Amino acid sequence: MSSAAAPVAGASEALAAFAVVEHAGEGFVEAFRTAEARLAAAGAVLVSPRDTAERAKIALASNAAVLRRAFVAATALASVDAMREDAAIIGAALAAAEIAPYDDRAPAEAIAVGREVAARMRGAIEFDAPWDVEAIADRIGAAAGAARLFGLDAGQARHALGLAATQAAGLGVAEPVSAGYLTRGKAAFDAVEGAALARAGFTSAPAALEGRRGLIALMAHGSAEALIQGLGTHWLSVVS
Amino acid sequence: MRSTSAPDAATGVAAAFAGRLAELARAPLPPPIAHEAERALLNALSLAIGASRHAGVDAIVAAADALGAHGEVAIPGRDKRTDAHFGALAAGFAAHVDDFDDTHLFTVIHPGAACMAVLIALARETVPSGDHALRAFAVGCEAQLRAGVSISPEHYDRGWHITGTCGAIGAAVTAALLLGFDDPALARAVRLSATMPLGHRDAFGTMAKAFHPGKAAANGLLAARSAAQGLDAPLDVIENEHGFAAALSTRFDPQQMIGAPGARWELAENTYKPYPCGIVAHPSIDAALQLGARVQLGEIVALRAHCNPLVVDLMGNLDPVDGLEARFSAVHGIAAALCDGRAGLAQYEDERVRRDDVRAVRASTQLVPDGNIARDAARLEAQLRDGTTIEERVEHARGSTARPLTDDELIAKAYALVEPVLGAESAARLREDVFGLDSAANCGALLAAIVPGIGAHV
Repeated sequence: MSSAAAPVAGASEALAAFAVVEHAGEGFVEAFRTAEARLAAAGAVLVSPRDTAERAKIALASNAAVLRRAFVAATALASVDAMREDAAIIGAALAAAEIAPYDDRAPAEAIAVGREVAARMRGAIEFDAPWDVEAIADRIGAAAGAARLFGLDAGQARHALGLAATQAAGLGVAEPVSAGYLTRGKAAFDAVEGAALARAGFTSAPAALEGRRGLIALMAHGSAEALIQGLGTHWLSVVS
Repeated sequence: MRSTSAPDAATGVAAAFAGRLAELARAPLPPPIAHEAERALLNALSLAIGASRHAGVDAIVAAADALGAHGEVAIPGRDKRTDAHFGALAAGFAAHVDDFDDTHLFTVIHPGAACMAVLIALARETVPSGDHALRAFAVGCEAQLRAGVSISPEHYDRGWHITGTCGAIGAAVTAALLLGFDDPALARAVRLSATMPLGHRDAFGTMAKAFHPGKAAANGLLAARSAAQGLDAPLDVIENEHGFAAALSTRFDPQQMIGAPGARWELAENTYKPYPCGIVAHPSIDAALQLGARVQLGEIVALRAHCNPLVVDLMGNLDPVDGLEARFSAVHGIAAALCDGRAGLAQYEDERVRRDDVRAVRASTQLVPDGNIARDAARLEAQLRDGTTIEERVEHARGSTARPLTDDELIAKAYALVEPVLGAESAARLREDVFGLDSAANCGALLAAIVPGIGAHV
């Protein structure tokens, strides 16, 4: 720990930094293009109302417009098979962008970053059988994207990711039905809420993913190092 | 994990569970349970008021404002209202953040925070009678505890914060009962809440720990309100091999959720902490308070606290530097009890922990682990200036199941929390309104007592 070599960041710290820094290079350009395509596809879906999302809109106990937008968009996207994978990432980014300073590249950048975090959550660790892996990965990715759009610093982003990790939920039994759509709507809502809380000074576990009683220990098997191997240079989300 | 032979196999554990809870809620609460619910409610409300100026509550209020939330739901202790979601989040957070709330010892669930938070968030909108409100609170607590027992102790041991995971279920039940749901809607609310557990123990030591019951309350509200819209989760969401119980524990005993309707109340086992520190140090603090009533501090040369070995393991910090560390220091509890004649929140403030008088007593106190001493017992030996040695023994700590906090002790705790924030008159009103809730026409007086505005508050 006290050697002269540069300290190796833990997975939570590294992903938080990745969420908020500037990106460049071929991998990022490709991820950005994919994100733009996903945004366009989402726009086409969101023009028509979806039953679960319409009911959820009435059910929400918060009248904060940005949270409602995140929840309803993500729930609607999740109810379409082709849009379920990154429903929370896109829903949270669309909502957070509404209160972020205007920047026409920002939503797609946030989605690119969120999708990369989610791809790593799905690919690098193996979740226990009962969990809805896609929903959990989508939630962590949504938090990364929201942290970026909220302009959080790396420390605040770590708290935002920590709040997402400690709320990671999604049951396999509910995945293909309306409760699974709500899980994704809620993930988007929680991502925006978490970013707002972190910006206001709220704290969470510093190593929420790799900690002794963190997400990986409780819900999965696998090494936290794999989560961040090649992060920023190797974009897993565009290697299909 | 499945109980295929049970009568609930077709409709699922959640529906059977909801049916039992609905039976409990339809009958008048047994008087001892009604009284226990009032004690739990007073404890949770006074803690939420006491912690209303915590930095975490400030952050929740700031986030709610930044996101544009607005409404008429009171935040206990504050002159500020918001929507039901953020109101529930703030109240549930504040009731747990000082680690001073109620504890169901077998599950380690703190049931009061989330159900109180839902009650405060919905009372204005649903206008329940006092009796209805108390039943909704009590049965919500009971739902949390029974769900918790069914997956304990493996669930908490693995690293889950059970107050969050099971809290959402209890909160959904309190919300559903306040909203007047029929049995099928209550079952939908339970099923949806089972998809919304939260809480990793890695969050301990940060604000995220108390976020768990706060968000559990908000999740319960969402589950209930979604159920009202006809939304649902699969019938077997709890017992399915890809469901709640299998995801969260290696043990699941559904009979703990659906057996013995009304014959047992887990809520009757709820306990209340007299001191805001780790529970295993409480008997030593009791002994120190007894000792302080017998001799002057200046007469004491040295102390030996004979205690269960867990005290050394869990509360062995001999030289705490701040309030958080002091919560894990048995010798600080003993020192504070002798210096101040009490061990309340004030004795765990950073500045108090660092003063010379308590540092000196801590330095002259030795912990002596003894496997023959029970967890709720202690023996404190004091060597006096005149060469003699005296001793205080505690058989059962205050607040243990063998020696529950009396109503007077609980009321004194509530006053100490509420008075500095809202003033003495509010503290007295709160006590009257909670203990009179079962016969109150509505919750209006109670809601008025938890916010600034009564009498001369400070």
